[in-house]
Amino acid sequence: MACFSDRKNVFAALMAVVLIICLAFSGMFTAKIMGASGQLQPMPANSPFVPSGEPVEDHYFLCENENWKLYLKPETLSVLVMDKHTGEYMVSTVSEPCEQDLQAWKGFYQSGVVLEYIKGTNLNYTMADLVNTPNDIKLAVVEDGFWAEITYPELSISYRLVVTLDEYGVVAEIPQESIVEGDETFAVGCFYIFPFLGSVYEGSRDGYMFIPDGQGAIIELMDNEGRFTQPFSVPVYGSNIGIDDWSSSSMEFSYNESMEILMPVFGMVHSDTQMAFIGIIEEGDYFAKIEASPNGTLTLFDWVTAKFVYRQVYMQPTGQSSGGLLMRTERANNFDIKIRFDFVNGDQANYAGLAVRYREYLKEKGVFASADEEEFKVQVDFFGADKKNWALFKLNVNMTTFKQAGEIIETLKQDGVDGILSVYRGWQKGGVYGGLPTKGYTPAGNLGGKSELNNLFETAENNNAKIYLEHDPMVVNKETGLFESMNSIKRVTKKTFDIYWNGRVYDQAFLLTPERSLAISNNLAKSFEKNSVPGVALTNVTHMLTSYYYKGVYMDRGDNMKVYKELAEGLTNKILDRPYAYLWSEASAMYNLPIGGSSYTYTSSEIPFLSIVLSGQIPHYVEYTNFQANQKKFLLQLIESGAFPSFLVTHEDPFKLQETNSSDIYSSLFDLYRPKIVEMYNILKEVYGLTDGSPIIGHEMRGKLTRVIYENGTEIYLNYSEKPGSWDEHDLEGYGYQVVNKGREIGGEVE
Amino acid sequence: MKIKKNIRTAIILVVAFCLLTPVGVYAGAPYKTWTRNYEYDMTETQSAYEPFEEITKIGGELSLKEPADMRLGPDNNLYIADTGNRRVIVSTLEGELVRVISSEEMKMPKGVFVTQNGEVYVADELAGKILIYSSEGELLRTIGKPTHPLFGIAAFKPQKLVVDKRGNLYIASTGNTNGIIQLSPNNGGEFLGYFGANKTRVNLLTIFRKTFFSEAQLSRLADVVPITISNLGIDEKGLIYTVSQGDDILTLKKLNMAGINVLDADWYDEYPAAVTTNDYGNIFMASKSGFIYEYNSEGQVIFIFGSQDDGRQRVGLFNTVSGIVADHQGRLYVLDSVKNSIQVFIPTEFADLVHDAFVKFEAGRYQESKEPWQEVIQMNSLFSYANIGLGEALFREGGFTEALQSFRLGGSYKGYSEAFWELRSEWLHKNMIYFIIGIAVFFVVWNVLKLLDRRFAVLAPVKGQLQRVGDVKLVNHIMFMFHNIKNPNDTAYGIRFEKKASVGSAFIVLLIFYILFVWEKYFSGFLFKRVPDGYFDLVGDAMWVLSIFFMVTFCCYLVCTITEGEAKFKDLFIGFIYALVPFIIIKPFVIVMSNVLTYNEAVFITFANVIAYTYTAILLILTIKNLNDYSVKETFRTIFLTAFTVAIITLVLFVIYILVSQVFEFVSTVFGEVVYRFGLL
Repeated sequence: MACFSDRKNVFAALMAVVLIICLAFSGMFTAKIMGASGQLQPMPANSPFVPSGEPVEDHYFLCENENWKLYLKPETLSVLVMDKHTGEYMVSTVSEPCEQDLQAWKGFYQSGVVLEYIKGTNLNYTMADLVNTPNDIKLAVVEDGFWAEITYPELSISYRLVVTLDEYGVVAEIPQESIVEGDETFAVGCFYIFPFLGSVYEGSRDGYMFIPDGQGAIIELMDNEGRFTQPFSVPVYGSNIGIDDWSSSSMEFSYNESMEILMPVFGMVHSDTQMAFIGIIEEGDYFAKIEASPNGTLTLFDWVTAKFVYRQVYMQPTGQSSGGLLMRTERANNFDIKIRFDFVNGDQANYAGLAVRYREYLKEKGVFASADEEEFKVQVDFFGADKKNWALFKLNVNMTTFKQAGEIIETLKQDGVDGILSVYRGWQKGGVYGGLPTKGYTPAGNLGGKSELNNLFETAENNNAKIYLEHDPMVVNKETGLFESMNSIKRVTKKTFDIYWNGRVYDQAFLLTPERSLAISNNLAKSFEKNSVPGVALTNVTHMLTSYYYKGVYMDRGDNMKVYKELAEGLTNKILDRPYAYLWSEASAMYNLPIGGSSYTYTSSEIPFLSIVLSGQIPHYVEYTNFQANQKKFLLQLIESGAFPSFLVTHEDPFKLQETNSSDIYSSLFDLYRPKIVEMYNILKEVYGLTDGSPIIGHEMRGKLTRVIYENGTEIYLNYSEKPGSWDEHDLEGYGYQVVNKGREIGGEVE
Repeated sequence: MKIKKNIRTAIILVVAFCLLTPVGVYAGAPYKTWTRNYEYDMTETQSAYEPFEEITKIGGELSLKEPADMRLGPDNNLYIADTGNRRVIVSTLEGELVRVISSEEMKMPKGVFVTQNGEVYVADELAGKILIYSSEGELLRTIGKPTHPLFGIAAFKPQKLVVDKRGNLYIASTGNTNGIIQLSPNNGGEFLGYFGANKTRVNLLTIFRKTFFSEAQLSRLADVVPITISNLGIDEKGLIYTVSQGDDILTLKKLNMAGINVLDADWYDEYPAAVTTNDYGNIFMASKSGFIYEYNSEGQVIFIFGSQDDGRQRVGLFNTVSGIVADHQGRLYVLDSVKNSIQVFIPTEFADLVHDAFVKFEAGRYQESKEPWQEVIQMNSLFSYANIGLGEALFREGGFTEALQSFRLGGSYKGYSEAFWELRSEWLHKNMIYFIIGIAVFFVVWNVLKLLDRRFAVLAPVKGQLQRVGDVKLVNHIMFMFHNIKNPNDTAYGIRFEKKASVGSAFIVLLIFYILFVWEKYFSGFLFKRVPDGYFDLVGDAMWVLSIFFMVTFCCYLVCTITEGEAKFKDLFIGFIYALVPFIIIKPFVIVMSNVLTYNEAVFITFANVIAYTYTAILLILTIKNLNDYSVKETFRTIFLTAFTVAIITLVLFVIYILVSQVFEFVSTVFGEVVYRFGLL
């Protein structure tokens, strides 16, 4: 034994020498820094800002259009936007700092723009504002706004802020080109632009903040008396799983993860002055975080903003089990910042008004151009096959063959269900898990093969149904896709991206590079077209964006996003699974959308913001009805949001899935769901017959009662309480609803 | 805490959910809800309770400060021990203030209880007293430390208490490991004795310590002292419930009048904080870290939900739970001593259905419970209790085939066995006659054939064929194993000197053994199978069988060579394998029987197994003895030495494994550093 330990020591010494050499060399490597290139437009010359006229809260008039007036406080670059019709305004800074707040925060909320930088190896973000940090601002006035070049001499960092006033409000930009890092010690971390726009001291006025959590949620402005400790701070488009540590808590298993942000928006509503804004991130959304800080968390103010992250900090593990170093990402993320603050007033100054504004914005951008007509259909998904273990090999578990699926569609048609959208999961050879990656058009022989699948397409078409084959070009089963492992991506830590499945059959998976996903998908798209597959349901890539390493090259979310967008473009007749907003323009319909939110302690109510935005524009289906514990409430939520229902059905009893990787499906037997599907279809058909694909223009809540107003004049009243209630002259039963349209009236109680 | 066992799998499950479109639950609640599956493991289900509201201020103005206990009064109000503010707050279920109870004497009210007549008992830890108030909040009397000689010098720091219908007090006192202090209502709280004490766990280590340690040494060890009872509950029948923190089993108890635990729960939590029951006898236990367990009156866990708020700030998570109340509407009120709030949970439609079915089922109204169970199954086909309940109902209706299926899905082995018994006897009734005819025909044909063979040798070609097969050397060697049954001594001789068996034949026999081993392991009848459905590990089994054989043979050979044994390694190897012949002969019958027998006849299987294993063991011993020409004494000495050698080698291998993995860890750390510094890969 002694001999053994001696050898170990020698070995350790050797390794230590290697390590020391490595460390010595490491000094030669320097951080990559950002610098301006030649293409940057020069600042307009000879147009300085000359304060004139009567100041409003120390802000001087700058420019105006027919709706808004823009005022500027030049020394802090704070803006004030005034509603020309009412004279009400919102300011981007706080004029009187609160004594109790920390000095750093005082600087933060008195500045129009704030930079957070990283100093050397110290990996905490430090704030550089325009009050506490010495700075030099060069200002130039243009016709509809101003340009400002901000330099922090001590940090050798400079950047340009461009602010424009247009008919809807204010647009602010920081082009990446303009960001200069002169000293490698100081690196740009994050930017905030007008973080305190519309902020309120300790809930001292009526109103709320809007956050895009799930469907959407609002945080009422009120004195919280320090009840909340942490602000809302959630990355847009989900966390960057290639960088963020995704399993920190030992009790991780017991939580349902909070909702991801699907749309890059946030808002503030001042109900008392009937003025509100919605912040829409136009560029840099994939590296932004939405932050809403109720009073008592960071400061005594309520404020909501977007934070743009150029450099992230992560943990580089050095050992097998523990230990690691904090690192910052090798290069800055590649994006320009562009954010618009669109203002609304009058009776539009509420969350529904903000949703309508966002919808109009998206329409102007042509986002819904490829969307299908919004005709009511019910989503009935089929689960095809999966694999289970047997002694010597794996067996197929057939849950719904193509023929059975056709029979189900026919049965539903006979029951009066006219209009079905259907995603077929596990249609391919190997089934849901065993079939990953699906590289070709290979319908499972055990489900009936190509000919039966073609029959199914035909049956579906004859019965006003459309089949979409599920398509996941990203996740690869380690066992069935071993050859693809050379195309797997690595995390920012340069360790492989292992995904663990809690399955009895397959337990590990990895992710393909976006390029490889694209190649597979394009290939498959051709096969689909050749075999006249009616539709494709694109999943997983629609709600996943990550920074990663592949063959030693670091790629960020922006690179990933471009490829996925191209991937989606390459498919025809596609519906998207819970897509992030950047992909909305590709969808003919969306499915698996959330119906609720994450219920944070500081949110006061959840609102169907997402549904209001999508209403009348694109068919959208929400999460499966199967797994809802409160079916009554769920049906009311559907009626309220105008979204379409979805079911997952199988011909066989789901207990057959117990030995497969899909053992989490505990309820799907068609025979049990048949009456439920028909009942829900009939109720919703009647309701949506009156709303008739028209967009929602108003939404209001009074306690447990809700009213929804449609553009075509339809009004829907809902009661979420078990006790009867009434909204003006509309009396509602417990769990009741009423739909009123030009004298016609339907309604009832949810059974 | 069995829940721990499942944490790893569950974490994996969550990670998987991050990336694959979740099919499962994501209803509003921030926590997952778990129930028992047919394999008695945790499995996820729909939300059973959803967060309804959080009461942070009673009556809109009174804030709580480190509240330590909460009970439901007969007036349907909540009684909250607002410890940090030295008062008891009475609140409606909606959070409206009813009254505040406080007095000079109240120093640190840690526990509170309200009797049927509205008297409020307060356990004051600092004052070391029980304070009794009228329903109007007027101090009626106090009870101090018992003066009874039997109570002696034990600590009296009342932490929690309950009072039964006769007015007896049951008090949990901080630092008193003797159990619950039971006081009579008479004579100013006469000491009646200790009740329901926890015991220390007995394991090998504690036995070892008790044998060799001195009193002084023992007193310094923490785990020789039983864990103290941390909270109490009482149900309608006057049964006392206790929870204790710091152990992994038996932390929840239901005590009968004699103070004996009558509850055998499926799952325990290591740090339970409070316990209560509801109108129909279900037990609710809240753990300090925020898990709420709902058990039925038997201790079977129905739902587990909730979790700790680790900064997520989502409604329905806890920081430190200190009390739980179940009201008559089925709502739950959970007190949090750090968040200083009461969180209210309402049952979902799913939980309401489950409760409805349970109430009927437990009252023995199986037929009535059928409908709600069916509705539950509609929402969750795999809900174990619903399948068992439905199985019971179907069984009583005579639908044995469906009942069998339901019992299997619910994991009820007893029910399955009974339904199978019925089905089998039905089958036998129908088919017995064919069975008998079949046997008769077989015998007739057999005898006729024999007769014909004797006269005309009709079977000669078959026999000749068999003879030729038997003449093949390998077959002959294999068949030699059956010789071992009757003549173990000859067998040894045959192996050693007559070369009647070869290594090749031994490997084939070992293969047969392996096939039977995996056949029994994976293809026994449902009632007798020990591995979960869908689990197969043939390679692992093969490694296991091979390594055990080689290890034992090798160790035995080593021992034999130094104890003047005569056997060669090859002989031992063949001998050991040939000693498995009883196993090989009997197991096929066992496997077939396991597929047709029920628990009523399980004794046959046990009996057959006993014969197989005993006979095999005897043959193994004889093999060692005969091959080495040992005396009985020498044989046993060899066996013990072999066992010891196996143990030592295993240990050495283990140590080597640890060292190698340390080296590996070190190398990969260096590699990690290199990767980090140079950006390799």
